[in-house]
Amino acid sequence: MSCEVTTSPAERLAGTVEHLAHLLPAQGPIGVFVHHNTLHAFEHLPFEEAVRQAGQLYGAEPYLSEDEFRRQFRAGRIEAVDVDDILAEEPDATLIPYELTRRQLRRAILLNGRTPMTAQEVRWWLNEGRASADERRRFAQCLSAVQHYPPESQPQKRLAPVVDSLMIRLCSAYLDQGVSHWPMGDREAGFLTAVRQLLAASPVEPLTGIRKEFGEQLERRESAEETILRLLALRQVGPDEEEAFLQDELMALPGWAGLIHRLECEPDLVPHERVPCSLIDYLAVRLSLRRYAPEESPVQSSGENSVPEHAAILYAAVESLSPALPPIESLGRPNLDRFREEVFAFDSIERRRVWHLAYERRHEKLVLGPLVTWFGSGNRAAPAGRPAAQVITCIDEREESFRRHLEETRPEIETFGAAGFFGVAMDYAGIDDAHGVALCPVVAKPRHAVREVPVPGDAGVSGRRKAVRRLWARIAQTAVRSTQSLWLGWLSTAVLGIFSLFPLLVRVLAPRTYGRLRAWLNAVFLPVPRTEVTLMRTGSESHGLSEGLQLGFTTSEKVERVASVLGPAGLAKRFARIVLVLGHGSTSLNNPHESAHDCGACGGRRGGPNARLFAAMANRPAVRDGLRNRGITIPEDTWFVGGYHDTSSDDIELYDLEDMPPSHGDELARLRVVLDAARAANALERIRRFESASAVTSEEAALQHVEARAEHLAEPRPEYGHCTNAVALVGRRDLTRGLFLDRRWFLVSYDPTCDDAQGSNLERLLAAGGPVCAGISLEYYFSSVDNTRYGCGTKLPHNVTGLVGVMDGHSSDLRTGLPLQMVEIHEPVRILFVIEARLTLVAEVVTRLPGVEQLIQNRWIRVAVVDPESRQIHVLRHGSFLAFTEGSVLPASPASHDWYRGKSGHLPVARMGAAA
Amino acid sequence: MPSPSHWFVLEGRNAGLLVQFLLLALLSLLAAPRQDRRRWAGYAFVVGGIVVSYAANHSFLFWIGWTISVVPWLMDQSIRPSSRISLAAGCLAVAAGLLLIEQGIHRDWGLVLLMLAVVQRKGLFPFHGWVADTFERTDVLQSSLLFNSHLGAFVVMLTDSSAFLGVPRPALTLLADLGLATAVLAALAAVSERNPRRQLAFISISQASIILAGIEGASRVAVSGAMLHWIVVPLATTALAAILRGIEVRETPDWNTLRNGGLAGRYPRIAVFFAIAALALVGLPGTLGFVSEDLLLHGALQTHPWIGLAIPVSTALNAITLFRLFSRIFLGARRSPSAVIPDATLRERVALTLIAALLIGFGLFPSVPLGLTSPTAEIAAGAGWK
Amino acid sequence: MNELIAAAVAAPGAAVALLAIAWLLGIECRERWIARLTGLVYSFSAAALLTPAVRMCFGDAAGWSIPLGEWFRVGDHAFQFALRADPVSLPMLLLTALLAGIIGAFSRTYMHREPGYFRFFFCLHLFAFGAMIAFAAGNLDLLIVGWELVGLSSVLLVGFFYERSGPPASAIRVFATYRSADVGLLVGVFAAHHFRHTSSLEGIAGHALKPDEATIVGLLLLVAAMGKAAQIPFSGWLPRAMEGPTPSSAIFYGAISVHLGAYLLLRAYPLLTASPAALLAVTLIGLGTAVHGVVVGRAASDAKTSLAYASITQLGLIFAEIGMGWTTIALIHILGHSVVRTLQFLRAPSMLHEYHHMHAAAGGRVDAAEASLESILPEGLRRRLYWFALDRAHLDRFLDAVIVRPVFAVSAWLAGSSQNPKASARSEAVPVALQEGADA
Repeated sequence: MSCEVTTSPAERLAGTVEHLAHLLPAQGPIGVFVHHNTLHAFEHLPFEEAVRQAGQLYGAEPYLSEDEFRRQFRAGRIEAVDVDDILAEEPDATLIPYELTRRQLRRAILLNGRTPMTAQEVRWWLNEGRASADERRRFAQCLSAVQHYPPESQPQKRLAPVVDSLMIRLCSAYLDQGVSHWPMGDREAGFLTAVRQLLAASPVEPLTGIRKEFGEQLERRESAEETILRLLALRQVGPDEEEAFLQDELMALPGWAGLIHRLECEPDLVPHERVPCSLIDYLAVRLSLRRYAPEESPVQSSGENSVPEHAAILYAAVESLSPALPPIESLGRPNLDRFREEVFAFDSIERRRVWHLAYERRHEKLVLGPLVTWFGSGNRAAPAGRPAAQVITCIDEREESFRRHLEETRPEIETFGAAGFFGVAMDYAGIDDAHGVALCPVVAKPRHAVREVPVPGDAGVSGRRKAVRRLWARIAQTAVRSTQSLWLGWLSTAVLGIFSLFPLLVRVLAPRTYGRLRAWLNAVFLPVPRTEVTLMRTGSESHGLSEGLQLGFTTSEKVERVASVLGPAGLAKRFARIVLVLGHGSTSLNNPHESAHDCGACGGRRGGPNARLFAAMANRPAVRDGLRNRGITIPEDTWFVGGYHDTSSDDIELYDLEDMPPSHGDELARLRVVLDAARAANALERIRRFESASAVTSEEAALQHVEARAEHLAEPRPEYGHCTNAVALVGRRDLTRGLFLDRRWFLVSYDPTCDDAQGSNLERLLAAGGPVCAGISLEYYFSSVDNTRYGCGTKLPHNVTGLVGVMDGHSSDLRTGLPLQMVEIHEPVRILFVIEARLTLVAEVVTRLPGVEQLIQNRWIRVAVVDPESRQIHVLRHGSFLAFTEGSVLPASPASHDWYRGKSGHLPVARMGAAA
Repeated sequence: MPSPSHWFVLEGRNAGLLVQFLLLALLSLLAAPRQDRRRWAGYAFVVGGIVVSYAANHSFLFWIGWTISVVPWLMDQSIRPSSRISLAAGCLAVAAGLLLIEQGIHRDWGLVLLMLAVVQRKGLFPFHGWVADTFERTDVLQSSLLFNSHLGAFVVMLTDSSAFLGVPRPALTLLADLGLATAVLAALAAVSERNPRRQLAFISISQASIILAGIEGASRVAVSGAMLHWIVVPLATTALAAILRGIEVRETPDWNTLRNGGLAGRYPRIAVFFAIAALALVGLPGTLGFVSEDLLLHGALQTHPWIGLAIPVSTALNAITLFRLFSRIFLGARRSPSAVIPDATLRERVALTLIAALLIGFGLFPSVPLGLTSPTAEIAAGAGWK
Repeated sequence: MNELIAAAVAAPGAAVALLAIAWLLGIECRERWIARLTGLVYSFSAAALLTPAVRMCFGDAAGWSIPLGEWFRVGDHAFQFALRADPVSLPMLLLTALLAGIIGAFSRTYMHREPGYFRFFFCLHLFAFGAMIAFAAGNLDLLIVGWELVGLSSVLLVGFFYERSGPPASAIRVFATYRSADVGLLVGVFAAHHFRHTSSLEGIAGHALKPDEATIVGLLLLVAAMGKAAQIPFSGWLPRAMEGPTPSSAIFYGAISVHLGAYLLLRAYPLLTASPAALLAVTLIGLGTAVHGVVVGRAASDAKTSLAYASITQLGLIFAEIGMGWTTIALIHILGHSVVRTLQFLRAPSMLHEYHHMHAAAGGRVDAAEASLESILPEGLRRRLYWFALDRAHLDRFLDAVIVRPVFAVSAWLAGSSQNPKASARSEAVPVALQEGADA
């Protein structure tokens, strides 16, 4: 920090708030849920340090619980050798000469030890339990060994629950996007002014004195900064305590404060009504309220328990070492002190750190071991001849099984993975959309607008469609509104109400029938015009649709976008006659987190239009000419087809088939058969994870089951989303084709042989894919290890508020992160990147990407590298690459179905297609 | 003084109550934590004293029992002097009152003294302090045993039935009205208490003082209601006291640190037992409390119209207080189950299950307890001076 | 027919007993087993009730009075166990069986893997049992039994997610409101006993009571009904009750439980007719509630609060209908409203999805603020009214000031007067648990 003398208090305040704002959750409105690292603000720290610090700040758990790790140990998911591996990599020390080293102590505590008891438990155990005389004696020794150990005291924060509930009410009303029929007044003037106007007007005060306070603020035309500084001074908060004080205020309701900050930075994120947001305003309101609110006195925690508490910890260590350890009274003073300090230093977080590393080490062995064996077996059939079809999907790990089933169904099919926006960053509005939305990763800003328009002949149909939809919207709106009003409400409940029984019965008891009925009604009443996307732009015309967007793409822009996907994937020469490009998304009801299941690369939206546009671009002769100059030769008879894969219902829709040359009809028909088979097989594999679908065994039933899930009002888990993700492979499909990866691997197609010497393709893929996959993995990690603090808890009481987020019940902080139902089967490990490239090239490329380098150096992601030539694997440990050569068993199975049938847990990597 | 063979008597009026009290003592001992069971001397005094009083066929023996039962508290330095004075004064008042009545001189004053002793023993306002104090500062199960012997009500019943005192019962109506007032006042006092033991004491006083109105109501229905209530209050209070004590030895002896304890996750069974006992105490349908309150209301409505207000109001307040107490102990941030401390030990489970089964079983089939208590009720109701 | 109706009412009770015994014996109940039991119970109940309902529709029977004997008897006092299925109670019974069945089917999926699955279904059955008893009760004594069971299960579900501090605080608030209002029911019923020595529905009907007696009993029953049906000034508990899982919010606060108050008035209507004052009070309370519900509901910015006030509005209208003597309309209104609201609550989590579609279909603009009365108010008054709406008509503040704080003050004084100098330090000066239960 530079110590400029000239900094005014207001500037200092702004700086402090800006700094503190980073600690708030960065989640925007829930309608566009984008995965990101929950602890993004801590990425400059090593992972272990970051989780510890953040844990203290947010009162959250850094790792899984010790009980859970012990359970995993008993279940064999962690083995003793893993713990030994980790301990061996950390510095050792002698604690009791010739008797005990740190490693021995830690190993004993982790592997033989009982979970340490708390003071209460000790008290119970001594007074009421079955403590034997021997145990009592040993415990007494421990007790005397810690007799004068200083008790720890934790500072208590003063709470003002009344302020919290008022802030919730006010924020919710202020940010509301259309739930209420009567929006808050004066919103355009900002939060502070709106609240001042509101509370200064009413004689009924929520807190005595607040009316006068806000009235005076209005009169004095005080700025938010002035208000805050005045109130801080009143509370006698000095400049050096300011940060801590404001931090507590922000952390009281991090969800709401975070959303306000997010909208302050990116006002466009709101779905409907833009309201000016400012964290300073928020703080000014909060501090004003706080001034008049009664405060709860902090609970005094007495320090008297600390002695038995410490004794209990020591006792657990002694018990786990016995009988190897001599009685502790015979150790001698210095030894005993050292021993005691060491035991206390190996506290719960440290123990869990070691457990966690061991847990990840086992995971690494389970992933890389089979790969070593697989590479060693060397019996991969080199692809020969022209592929029957090529399918490009998103890198999403949910597409892994779909790709595998495609290849299993028809081995002549090749599949590729590319980030699901397929290089086309755009502002897109479909024919049914009101306005454009950005379909690209959140870090990018689209500069091109694309609109779906009816083909020239179908303008009338489109008009009729619009009219019908408007009519429907009006009816729906009236229906919703009316039940909440007085006279219309009387009409719709007393007179028409009973007719709701039919939809109620059907939607709850037969959701799939309801879905079909709705589809049928749509088909009957909603005319479907043929459409095209406006992707052409010539020269500098059609500028400025709005906000500086350009309509469509020029040919060279198109070439660049197509090449950015085909080039790194190594798809330059061997093109099939049909290349299918599949975007993805997910549809589900009763799910405020619906968009978290959509394509992350499309900014939490559905990627169908991107695929459609990509295919349309790649089919243009002019684009193909441009591509040829870049070394990508697409044969005349290759046709790109865009499509959309719904990962919830496993539905597949293909676009613009009428434009396809008739010569490709047969091939397409054949491909469709394969697609249908693959999606059914995919559905069957997917539902093995759902406990409630254990009775479903056939593919047709599985498809019906997932369709019903997507339509079911009562289904809190329409799909498991990215749950269980653990590995990201950047490399050729050859490396893993034929392996069962259990829907846990992101598969980024990268052909190292097609890259230049600087590895620019790799750089591009890592720059985009690294943070995205890391973000997904880490959000799942944190939401799993502490679902209450980092995640948003169980979905069941969630209450959509203001169309921007969910609260628990009628009034709570805005809940951010992932719900329990999305992470319940997740294995919280940091993602393991497996990169197929030369070791030196990877190191070189990473240094050019500061963001990725930081993630790697601070161990937020794990990295392994496969050499493209020798297929030797190296893993990154403590800053250097070590060879990983230890192969492990690679089970074999004839097909995926035989491998997973009847199992619901995580499955190890296995080889498909071989005779079992 | 009769001959030793006639010192004690076991007949309709006391047999049921004696059995009931012994069962209560057994349940208390069963549910008490091991460290409290070591204080067996206290139990011996309470149980011995009260059994002597119940079974006494002579006023002197009755007084002896009365006094013995409070000896542990008279000796106890940890309670406030005022409570000890109150208990001692109760003993003296019984002695003096009985003496005066027996001797036939100043019978009315004797009666007044006896009634004062009843007020003290029942913890009616304004003599409720000692109950809260002993609940708070001494063994809560023993205190609840002492209080739930309801020797005061027993005296009223005896007086009422003229069984051995042979006195009519003027002024008893006043006592009953004081009971009704206490029901509401004690319930109100419990609302703002922070110490759960004191809260329990106030709630017990509140619920138990209605018994007086029932006995005094003198109709068969009211007395039956009072007899059932005499089962409900001791059973439920004992269960709640045992649970409070069980939580203390498990979690913290200092109630001030326990706030939103969240113990339902750790001790789900104890939490459910607490809920059942609390709901029975405040008369939830399906428990015996509902039946007893229904009978009390219907039976005493003619003689004590205020009962129609006192019972609904005091039970509503007590219900709210108990629910807040439940919430404070059991709800809040979940604590994971402890590997060491069990949810309800076997002894606790047996005792609490038995209490819950009695409260619910009798509540569903009230004719059973009605039959069991009918001898006592008949004597209490029939032998009055109507 | 009598046996069939009695069995339909008893079926959920059997489920409660079964689950309780299983718990007592420590039997781990599997989800599927509980779901099957639920399906069985409500299919049976609904089917059993359908027969009498059809017969009644075709005018075969005016109703059934089902004496099931005495529960207990002492002297000349007996607690009669008598059910009644007539055009008022039968539709409500059928509705309860139907909605409880639908909610059961919904929750089978919704509550899957929730640790409190057993607890939820136990409460659901207890609630359905209580509601059926209350609806079918042939006398007010029995109605109290059902009424209390409904209240208890409702509170248990409000506090379902007890790990957070918000739900228990809300549960206490709801419980306190219920119990306070229930004093009206208990005292009312005993007043009826006092006056007429009966609590059977026939016994207190019409002009059996003198007008002033009828007024007293009627007003007492009205207090009870106001508490259960969230009428002013008790309406503040309803939005707070939205802490439980969504299906419980649907059946309790959208459908059955909140209408129990109106049902009580329908039952007591023959008595109310003897007292114009009571009828007027019912009407005024209802109209006041309806208007306040609309105003507050318009400013509500979250899905469940908005629905809660929409319910309150219609409940107010139902009260007004009863007050004006349109009992048949009120009954139809109750049925229609229950169904509509249940569906809306179940759809509440889909709000984003549906709003998005509606927005797009409307071509980008769903009018958030349709012009309404408030737009013609002068600015100052409009702000005042908005805060009135946002603060939920200041009613919780009002109740705190006139009931909660005085009670605590008296209590602190009483506890302090108990010869205990330190008592004031120990007693609770600020009723924290009764204040705003925000969850951090």
